[in-house]
Amino acid sequence: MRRYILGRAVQSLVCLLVVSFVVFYAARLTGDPTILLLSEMATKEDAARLKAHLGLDKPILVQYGLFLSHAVRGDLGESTRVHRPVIDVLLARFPASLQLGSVAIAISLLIALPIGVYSAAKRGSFFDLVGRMFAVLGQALPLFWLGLVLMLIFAVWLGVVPAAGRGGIRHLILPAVTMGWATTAAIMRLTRSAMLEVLDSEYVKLARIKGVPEWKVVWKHGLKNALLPVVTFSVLLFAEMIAGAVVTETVFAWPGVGQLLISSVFYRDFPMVQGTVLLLSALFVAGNFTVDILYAYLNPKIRYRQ
Amino acid sequence: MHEGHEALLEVEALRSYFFTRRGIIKAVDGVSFSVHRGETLGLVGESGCGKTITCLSILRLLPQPAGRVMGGRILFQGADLLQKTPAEMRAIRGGKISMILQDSLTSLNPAFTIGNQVGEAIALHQGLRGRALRQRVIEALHLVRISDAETHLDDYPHTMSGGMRQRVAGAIALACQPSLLIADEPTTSLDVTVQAQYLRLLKEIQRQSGMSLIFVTHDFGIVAKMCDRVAVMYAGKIVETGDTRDIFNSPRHPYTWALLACLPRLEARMQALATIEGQPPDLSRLPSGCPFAPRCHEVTEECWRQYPQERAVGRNHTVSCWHAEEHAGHA
Amino acid sequence: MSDQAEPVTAAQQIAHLVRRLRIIPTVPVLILLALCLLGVFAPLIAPYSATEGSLRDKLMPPAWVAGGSWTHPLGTDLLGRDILSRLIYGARTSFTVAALAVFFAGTVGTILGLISGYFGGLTDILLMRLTDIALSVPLILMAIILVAALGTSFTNVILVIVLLLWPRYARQVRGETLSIKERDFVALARIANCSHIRIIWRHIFPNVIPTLLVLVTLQAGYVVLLESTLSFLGVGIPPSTPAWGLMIAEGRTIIDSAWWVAMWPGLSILFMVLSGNLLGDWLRDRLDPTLKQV
Repeated sequence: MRRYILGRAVQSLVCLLVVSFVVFYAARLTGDPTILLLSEMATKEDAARLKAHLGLDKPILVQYGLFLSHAVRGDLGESTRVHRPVIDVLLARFPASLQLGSVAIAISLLIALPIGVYSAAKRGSFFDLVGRMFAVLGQALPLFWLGLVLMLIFAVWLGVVPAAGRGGIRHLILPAVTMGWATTAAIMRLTRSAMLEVLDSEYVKLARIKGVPEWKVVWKHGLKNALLPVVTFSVLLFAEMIAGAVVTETVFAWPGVGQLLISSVFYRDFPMVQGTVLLLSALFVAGNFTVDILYAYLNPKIRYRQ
Repeated sequence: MHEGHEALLEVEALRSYFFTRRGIIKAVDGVSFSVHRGETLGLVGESGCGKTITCLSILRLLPQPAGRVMGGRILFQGADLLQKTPAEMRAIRGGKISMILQDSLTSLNPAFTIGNQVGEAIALHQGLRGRALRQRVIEALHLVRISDAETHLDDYPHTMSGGMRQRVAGAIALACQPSLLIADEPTTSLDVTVQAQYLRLLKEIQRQSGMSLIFVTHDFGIVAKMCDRVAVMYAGKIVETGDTRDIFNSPRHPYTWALLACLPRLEARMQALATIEGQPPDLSRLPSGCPFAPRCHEVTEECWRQYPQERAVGRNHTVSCWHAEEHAGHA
Repeated sequence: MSDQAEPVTAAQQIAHLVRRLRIIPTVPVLILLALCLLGVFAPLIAPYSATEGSLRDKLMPPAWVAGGSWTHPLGTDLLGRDILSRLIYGARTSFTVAALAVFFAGTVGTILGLISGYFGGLTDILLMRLTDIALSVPLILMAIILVAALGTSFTNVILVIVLLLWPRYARQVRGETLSIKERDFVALARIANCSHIRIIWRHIFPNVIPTLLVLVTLQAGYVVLLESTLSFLGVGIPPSTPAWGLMIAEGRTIIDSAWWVAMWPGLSILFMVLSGNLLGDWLRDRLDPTLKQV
């Protein structure tokens, strides 16, 4: 198991490095920053001096190294919009995203897992059909549109919840449901197909032969094995969840990191864009890594290597 | 040998069909046989002939929703299993009738320890808990000759050898002392040396407990070693039944005869059989006559038209062939 | 779990009917065809221009709501532009982006996958590491930052999507190549001294096509979602081109007073993606059931 975790750790690190390089290089793609900072009367020497001052004349790898070393120490530059350290703004915004994200995931899992299991156990039934239709729909829906529609129905027309912003539980409902929608659909499908495969297996047949009651066959013998592929594939969902966070926060003006990213893009505050992408990517990688460890723990074949 | 004793299991005209997109597959089409106390019945035939489905039908565990028992009776200790409620069947499965599956790697749950899996059967049918349960588990493992069973209680199936795993499967099946054990090709996935050991073990346990055994196999060598009586299946029907000695000495059905002539090994697909030409029939499009007709050397007009009636050709020996009389003397 | 004959429930009958209808996925194919035709013949079909409108007609509701009229059946937006026409031109945008992105990503991915799977060795290892890394990176974040850096334009959006999408094709094709490579007819071709290129093109590639077809159909829907999300967030298609995501963004601020501006484009996206997904599922069931279902 140790070797497995080590391998995954290395992969995570490589991924982080790649992301950070893309983030770093993207800034270079926006063009020569000195043009914006200099007046029209500046001479070539002035430009050269400014470049040297900003460290822009060094080779690109050195610049990248400097960028990394700053980033690791928490120095992500200063926002050109609010003139505060990027890291401060990020940390201030982070709790809001965390709150929204965890509620959304919790709702997702609580709904999707049981429905997926039950759908598989009662394959072909009406419940199964409805469940599958819901899942198919969920994966085709544009999340941002769903949010708007929900907002329209429940906040504007029915007026039962506030339309936007962060506040109490009533503010949390619509964004959480929106954000959780796509993941719920995906997890439901995953669970169902994993369970179907498991329920066709020989050991489930043997459990029935032993006389184990059907509910136990499904929930004990089946689920424990089905969780494995679900966990593995749910890693793919992390990317969706981050996308979901960015979109949901924008639609509902939820003051989190996602919304910060989009508004920074709008205001051309590139240091902030860099910082948010870095933070979200780091979270993404960390999340994947955690799931990998969870998988290793759940799978006796990896946990107990001879 | 066993007349006079009431049969432990009597299968009468069992029909199990599968309803699929391609059509209705008549996997088991009018199968009748009986098993007496302490007796071993061999169920022989190639893959796809319906042996496994017959066994699953007895336990009423046909794959849902496609599989369905269409008719017949399955009398176990006098009562028809097909009339029993789900709860009654659950009590019987694992408790009175038990089954060992072919591949122990896939039939043992990879997520639970073997102690857990053996214990579950015992806890279900004998209601034991805690230390008493643990004790029974160890006894069950000892029964199948797993020494120092205590150290293996917390092992996972994938850490054990094939032979050991199949013993664990045996322990699970035998833990509650069933009256009838169905073994579905339990040694097919084992090494030859391990095979012999396992068969000896089964025979020994059977002798001690007086349990009945249905042994499904395609290997006549094993039949000779293990079985008192044999039923030969083809295309969902039983074509010949009899005492092992009679079947070996005077097989009456052309299929049985061909099988015996093809020893040592039957492979999964008929192409590997040198002497029986043709293919096994498509079970969704069975002809009205004898299903073996396309491949039979003795085939006549009558064989194509009508399915042969079952006929007695000796003591305990029945055949379904229009030409059974003519085969007397074939060795 | 009764295995006696029992009457089939209504639910099972409905499910059976739905399943049978899916034998030919008529509805998804029709929808996709309709949208495609709308897109291709947009200039001929759309009643109005998609980019110019009269401020006099701004924010007219759909025809069946009070205040609407059948001259603008689905209403108009903030600048008085006819929404139906914008929808039709938007179909063109979505289809074009999806087609181009999938085509390029698919081509690059397939070529790399074929090479990697066929030749194996160091090339394979390197390529697989590359795809691993590419697949482990959070797609949407990279898309956002890249388009933000490069500037919002039609080409950039397609470029970024292609960049992020090709690994999926590469990986799938490589897997298929590996298994096809072992088949007899390939060995025979090699014995016959066929060149590698010929073997790949004439023997391996045709067998990869079914999987590719499934992947392409499933991915097309995803690309449409991705593009519209990016456009909605402001890092996708520039506002000069009509795109569904953009329309929804425009409709967002006035959702309480003019719900129709955001509603119709969203439904369009839904129908397009749903049809694509259903078609992809059907293709997968028919052609390649081994593809993991997510």
